[in-house]
Amino acid sequence: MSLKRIMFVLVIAFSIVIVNSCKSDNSQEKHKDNLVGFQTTENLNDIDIRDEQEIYYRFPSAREMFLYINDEDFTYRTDLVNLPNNVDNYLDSKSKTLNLGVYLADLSYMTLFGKTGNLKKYMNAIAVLSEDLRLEIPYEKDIFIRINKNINNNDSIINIADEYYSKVIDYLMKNNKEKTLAVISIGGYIEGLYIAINLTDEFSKNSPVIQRIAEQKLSFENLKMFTYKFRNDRNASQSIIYLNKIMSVFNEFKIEKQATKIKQYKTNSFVIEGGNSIIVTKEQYMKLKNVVTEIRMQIIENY
Amino acid sequence: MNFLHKLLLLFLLSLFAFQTNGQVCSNYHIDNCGWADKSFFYSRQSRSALFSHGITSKFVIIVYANEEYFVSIAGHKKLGDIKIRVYEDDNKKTELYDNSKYNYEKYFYFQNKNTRKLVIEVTSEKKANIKNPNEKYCLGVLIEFRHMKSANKNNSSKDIGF
Repeated sequence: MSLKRIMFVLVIAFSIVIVNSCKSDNSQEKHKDNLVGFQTTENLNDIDIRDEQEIYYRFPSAREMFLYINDEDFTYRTDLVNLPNNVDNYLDSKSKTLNLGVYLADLSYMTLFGKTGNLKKYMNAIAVLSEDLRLEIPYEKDIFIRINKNINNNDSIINIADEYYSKVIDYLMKNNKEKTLAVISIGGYIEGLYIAINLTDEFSKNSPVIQRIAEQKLSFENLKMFTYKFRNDRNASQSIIYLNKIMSVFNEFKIEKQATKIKQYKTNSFVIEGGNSIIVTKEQYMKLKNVVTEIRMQIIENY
Repeated sequence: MNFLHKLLLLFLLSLFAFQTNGQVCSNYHIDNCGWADKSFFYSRQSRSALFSHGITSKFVIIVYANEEYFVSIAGHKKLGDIKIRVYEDDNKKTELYDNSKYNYEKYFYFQNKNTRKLVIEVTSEKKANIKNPNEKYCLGVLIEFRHMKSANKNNSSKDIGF
């Protein structure tokens, strides 16, 4: 047999081995029903299959959480965000991941209020932490080039910062880095809740913003259920401790039960009315504020 | 191109095919689902997944008070009709919507008056006499939302003119 033929056979054989190893994995997957559907991730090795939940939990992003805060109703406070210089203090992967979430929430807060002065510093902090965590955000360099070109154009900078936020979150989701996403989201949720609570001066039972803050109980529950899948991971399990402390306060809130009603308008249009309401007292709200402030300090001060 | 180059190319192509095959359909809902108008914001609660024939999978989302939601579904044509059922995540599991009652509509809107958890349950069609029943295909659910204020602002234009 000539050298060419030997090479040809070797290459084909090697290719077949690789493709078959893939097929073999797939065929294993086919025998496990829990490997199709929304609950699956590529990080299945990180999940204890026996305890795999049947239901997959989703939660709004920190930015979606922020959208109810209208810049017409609130005054922007510069003292509520984590200083970008603190990025050098985060040396371990847990503090890097949690504070990446904190800075992403800060970025959303600033863009929502149209504050562009420090956006680049915050984007730099996000870039440093994501690089340290080996997250390869697509077109990151291009985004920073565009920021430099549009440094005097507020609207463009806000759009670019928004785009950057989306790229980071989308990267984590598309690349099945949901374990990292869970810890980043915990940092972002705690920062988002801290900012929202501190933007409201006084407790008012009828304030729609305070009502929305109380309703974050449900989002925190889903985030906890989502993160619980990764509880064998050290960063995730330590972050769950923060969530549990906040959840213990949320769980004190009273639930007022009402029947849910549906008003159907067209075959594909309806209104959902009624359902359970969350009731929060001033004492409970202040307790939530204190616990969130304390945990947020622990995260940004890294102790 | 000599023989060795051809071999190398063949090898790289087979690796590429392997990699492409290995990718999940995480972006499927963005590329394939119908979108509402631009007054809606994309929700990161949207989700795509692999489905085989006749399976049911569900996920829980949060819908906030005084928001309007748009939910749209798309799946590979080989999955057939896709059933989407929405029910409240409580003990009663109150059913809110089932597209199989409406000829498997691909999208729906709803306004929500109270913050709540909803279960989105998706079922692919069970087909008899198919070659490979375990073959998996992409399916996605797109979720968008807007504040009711902006919804009303948008609808107010419908009240004027012809």
